Amino acid sequence: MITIKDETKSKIVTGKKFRLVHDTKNVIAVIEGTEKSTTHTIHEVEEFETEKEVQNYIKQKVLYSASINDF
Amino acid sequence: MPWITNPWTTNPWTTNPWTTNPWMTYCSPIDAKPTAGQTLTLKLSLPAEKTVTIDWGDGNTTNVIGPVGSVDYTNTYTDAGTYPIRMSGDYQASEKLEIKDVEVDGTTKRLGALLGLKYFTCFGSNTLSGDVADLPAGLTSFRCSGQNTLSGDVSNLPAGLTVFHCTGKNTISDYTTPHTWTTKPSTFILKPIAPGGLSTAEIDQLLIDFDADLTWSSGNVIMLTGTNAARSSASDAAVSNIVAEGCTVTTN
Repeated sequence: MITIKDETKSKIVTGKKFRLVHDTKNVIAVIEGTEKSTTHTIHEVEEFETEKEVQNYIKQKVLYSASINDF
Repeated sequence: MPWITNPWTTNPWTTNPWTTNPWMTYCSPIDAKPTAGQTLTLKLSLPAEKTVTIDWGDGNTTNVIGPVGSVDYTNTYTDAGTYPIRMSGDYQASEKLEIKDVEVDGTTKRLGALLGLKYFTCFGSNTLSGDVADLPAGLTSFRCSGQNTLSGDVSNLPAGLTVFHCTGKNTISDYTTPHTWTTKPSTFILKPIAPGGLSTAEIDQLLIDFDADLTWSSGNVIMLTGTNAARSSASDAAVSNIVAEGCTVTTN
């Protein structure tokens, strides 16, 4: 579930879903699902059920991934 | 009387050839463990006027003459087995080593022989082991996934690391303080998947030090998940500051 903290405008995402953090042009991070964790970011965050959905979204939005810094 | 002079100290012919003869020096940073017919790709960077011979361990060799930047060298193994890969010549000048496609074994001490190594990447079913303190001191980028069993203390990582990405069955489980971070890692991912990892107090202190010592920017990533402990409210302010600077922080 994505919540937005007012004072910093940052997003706090908690749960077990796959998370894609991006700035509308670049992939910043892909956080693996299945293990519960919390992500804090000022960037855009999308949640997905599977890794394949993440990769499809990256292709669909033509996001640039500079490195494999995830999974 | 001259004929009773110690020959081990005065006679050049008795000098230990293993330490002085450049043609006999090599390092063996990893063992390849291919299946039959598998091809290992080794990406290497080497400065000008330096040469390295890669001995793939199966009788094949490849000569690399610098300058080369991120060039792929491959070897296909006929038979399955364990093959020590040796690098001779100016191996200490090697700046980049990237291994993919084949399972490899290695240790941080063996990698440490590559004194000039700046970039190390190893993805796949590797089993890199050893203390992170033994990594080459000049390393700036370290990426390692798979079944690695690295151990040690986060504060002993090479000081100039700008990328640290370590997953797998590592047991990196300490963060000794006080510690001052002098170089900002644009990516800092420590995700053990086996027993081990940092405690809540260590996670909190690491984030507090990251905030105190470094200025973060958009696109930076800190990920402390896996079997690391959860952070506590003690690091709330630090995380808030780091995130406000543009870094994305993920913790348990």
